[in-house]
Amino acid sequence: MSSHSAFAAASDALAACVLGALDGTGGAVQLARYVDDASDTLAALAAVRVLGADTFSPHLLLEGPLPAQDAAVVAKAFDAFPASGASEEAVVARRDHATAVLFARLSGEDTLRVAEPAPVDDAGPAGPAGWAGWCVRMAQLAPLATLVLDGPVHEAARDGALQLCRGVSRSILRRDFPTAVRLVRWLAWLHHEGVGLPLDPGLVAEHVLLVGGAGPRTALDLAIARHLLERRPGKGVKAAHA
Amino acid sequence: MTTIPEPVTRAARAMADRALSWLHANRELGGLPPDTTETMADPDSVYKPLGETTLAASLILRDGVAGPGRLVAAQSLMDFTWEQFGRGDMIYERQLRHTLMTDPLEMYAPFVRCGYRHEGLDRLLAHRSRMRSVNSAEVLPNRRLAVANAARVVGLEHAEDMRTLAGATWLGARPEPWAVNWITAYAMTHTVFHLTDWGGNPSGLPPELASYLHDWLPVWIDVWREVGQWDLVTELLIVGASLEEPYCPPEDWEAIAGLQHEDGFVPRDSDPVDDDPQRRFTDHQHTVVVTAVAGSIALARAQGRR
Amino acid sequence: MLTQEIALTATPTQTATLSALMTEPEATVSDAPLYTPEAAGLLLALLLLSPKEPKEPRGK
Repeated sequence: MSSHSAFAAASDALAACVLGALDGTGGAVQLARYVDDASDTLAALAAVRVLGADTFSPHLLLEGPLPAQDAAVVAKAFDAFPASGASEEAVVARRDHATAVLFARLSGEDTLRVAEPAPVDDAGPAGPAGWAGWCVRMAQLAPLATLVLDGPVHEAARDGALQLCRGVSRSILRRDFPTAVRLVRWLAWLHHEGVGLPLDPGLVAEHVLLVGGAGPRTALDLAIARHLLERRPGKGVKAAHA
Repeated sequence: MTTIPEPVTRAARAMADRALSWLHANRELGGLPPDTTETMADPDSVYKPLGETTLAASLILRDGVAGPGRLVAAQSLMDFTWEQFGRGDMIYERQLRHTLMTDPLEMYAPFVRCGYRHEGLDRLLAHRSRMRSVNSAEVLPNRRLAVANAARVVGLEHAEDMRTLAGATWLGARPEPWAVNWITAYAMTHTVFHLTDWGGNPSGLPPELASYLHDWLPVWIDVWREVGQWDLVTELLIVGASLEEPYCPPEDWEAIAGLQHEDGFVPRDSDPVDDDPQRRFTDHQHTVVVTAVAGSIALARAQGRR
Repeated sequence: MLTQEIALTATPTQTATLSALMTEPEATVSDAPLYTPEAAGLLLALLLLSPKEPKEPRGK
């Protein structure tokens, strides 16, 4: 099995665990158990890195503590796959930083030491990639669309609400449901932030769920979106810069 | 004077001029077969295309933004189609035979716009417009708008409330833009064509619908351009050019202009184009018509004619 | 148990694979709606039970 398929399969499996915890059907995520039970430890750690901030979604959205052994697993994942501060891939750097910020918030430890990436100048929808290209990048940054986190990417989302709605519509029409689902995360986040949207985010979310078919990662994205849509805004959660 | 970007007017000029040239040069391929009767077993194959060519020519004459040589060509094209219709006799006989058919009125309107009239047809259409049956025949909402606009152009007394008719269309509901299909997109473009009288009256489109289109046209243009649906994309460009505050994205206009052949031919989609001239005409004449209309409307908006 | 500290470190290839999974591109091929005569015609026939296209009427 190639590392790509091994890592992808492990990510699916971890997403299913996280989803179970989020839905309240599977108890805590139990990251430590997940990694211990995995036949391919490196792939399991890769999965933690891939899901990144989403690994913590049950703790964030349902407000449960992050157990010490799970925090240790995350640290191990960053040991195995160090975050490169000079990451050429801006998206990866942003995701890693968001993971580190949430980790620090939930575990009380700043052990991941991921530097904040430099802002990208033409990163908005008016940049050379246009609104469609910007939306694809925002889809890749979907794990940032969650509680607590706020920063330049989130500012761009606030300013680009119409473009994100265009992006969702475009992806649905192209029948690219994985991308559509990630953009729905942003719509759900904007809705939670009280930003007016020209689309009904609940309707879109239900549509992509029913029509798009759901692998575990897609289902997790939609479950997080559902939480953001249904949660009453302004519960006084202090933002963390990411 | 509305602001149309310069690259768009450049593209529009080429699109309109060349498309008209092609329609004029190939007009015989659109002629009615010699044994055509007013009933016409397959109106979509010849009758409708003749009407569409007439429409293109009528808008070029209406907008008057083409050069003198082009205006002569447009006039010659209209003379040709008028002759094809027996100077209106065929349209008249079709309406006599089929009281409830609406296409005679729709075929006639562009001619009336440019000064051609048929006395018998005028009387017959006026008579029909007083009939409850005619006015409540079951017709799709965007088609009701087509008939209503044609009636207005011809000067018939029965006036429909365009805003009410607009409300009954798909567009009128300001629907989820991600839940659209190919044929509904065409229903939408035609809704805008009729409400704005083919870009001649942008204020005919209710402002909330214009606002909705500003939001979502970029998505539809992007999606259908990506899969090479040039005919539909060009209709979407017409929609954008017909808004009170025009939406004319230069890159998309240049893309369509770039697809146009030297002789004015424009392929309807990215599928291979047949070599046979008759087949080419049948398959792509609609797209050349749409290209001519798009170019003319954009130029008219740019020159502040609307 | 993870406490059996096997020091795992990814190779550059594995790191690249991880990056790829974190930056998945959109679908390369669009499946945008196109003309579907089957869908329109069949549905119409089922719902409306419309009569067949009549031939030229007998005698005028």
